[in-house]
Amino acid sequence: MENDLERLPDEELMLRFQKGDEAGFRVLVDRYRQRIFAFTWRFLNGSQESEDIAQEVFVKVYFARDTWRLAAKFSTWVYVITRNTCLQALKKMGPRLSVDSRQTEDGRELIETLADGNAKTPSDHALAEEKSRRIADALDRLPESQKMAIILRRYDQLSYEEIGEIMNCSVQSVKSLLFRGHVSLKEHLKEYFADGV
Amino acid sequence: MKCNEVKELLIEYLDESLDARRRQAVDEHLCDCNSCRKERDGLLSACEMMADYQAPVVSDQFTRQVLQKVHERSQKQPATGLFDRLVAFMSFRSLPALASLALLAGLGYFVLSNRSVNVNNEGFSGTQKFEIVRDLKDEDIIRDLEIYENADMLENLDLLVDLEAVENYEAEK
Repeated sequence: MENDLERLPDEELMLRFQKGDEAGFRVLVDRYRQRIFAFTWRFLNGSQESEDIAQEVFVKVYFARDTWRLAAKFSTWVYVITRNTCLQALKKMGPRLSVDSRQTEDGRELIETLADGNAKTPSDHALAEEKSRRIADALDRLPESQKMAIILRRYDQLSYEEIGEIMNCSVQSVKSLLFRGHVSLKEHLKEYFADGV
Repeated sequence: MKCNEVKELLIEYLDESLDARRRQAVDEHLCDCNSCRKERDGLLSACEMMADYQAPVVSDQFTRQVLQKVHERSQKQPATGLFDRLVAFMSFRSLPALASLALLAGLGYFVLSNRSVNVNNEGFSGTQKFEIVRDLKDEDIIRDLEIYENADMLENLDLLVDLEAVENYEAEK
């Protein structure tokens, strides 16, 4: 039964869910969980609470199902909820998240990778870690709006129009946010390029 | 095209979202402008570098945990219908509140009933007495007035009698 549902588009699943078919909701969670978690993880600078916050997004989707209208694309709607949930979480956590939590998690990952014989060499892994840390720090230095626009564009591959809908601003504003954000990122990462790592 | 205009279009250029006419204009400018080429290369490197920043894979328990949270939250949701709210109000969780309410009602009844008994036992007092006295005074005044009125009438009657007597006397004369 769920195999049949997996072939259905998001909007059809959402309509079924509104009529009481909770299997449709489960399929939507499975379909979007990685994307939403990746967004919260990047936006909250790899915070350990990212997964809880991503789960909270789906809990909100569940209870707000009746507010969704067929005219709205489900993906846009779920990203609007994600954006609001992340901003609320940032307010609670404070403007700057502790990088320690991400480093602790990354450290655990490194140990797990070292134990895996098929993984990259420790030196490769350390370089990848360093690169990720630099990008995370560079992203974290951006204003929230620029950071959000860049994540939605670079990682979620959303169009300027979709980003505008999610961030409640015009396409021209999105272009401007992306331009200024990329220029700042380039400046923050310049040092890394100069190191030639 | 000027350098500033080109730089502002570089992200759209790298995203391949420029229309053919503007793309060609940017291409032509980049061929001649070293500064804009450097800017483009820097932005391209930053974009390529960002592609390596991958998020971890979400846990297998994610969906189960979401459903668990939904279930827990559903149980905490406030009742919406009147009957639901009444049932919720009468539930065991509200027993202490109900007991306090009953205690207050009993206490109130006790205090109020004692007060009325006291009033009955003590009879009239305080302002009530004053009212009655005032009423009594009023009655006296009314009675007095009646007496005066009667006296006036009697006096008038006497005068009439006197007048009649005088008239009779004069007639006899």
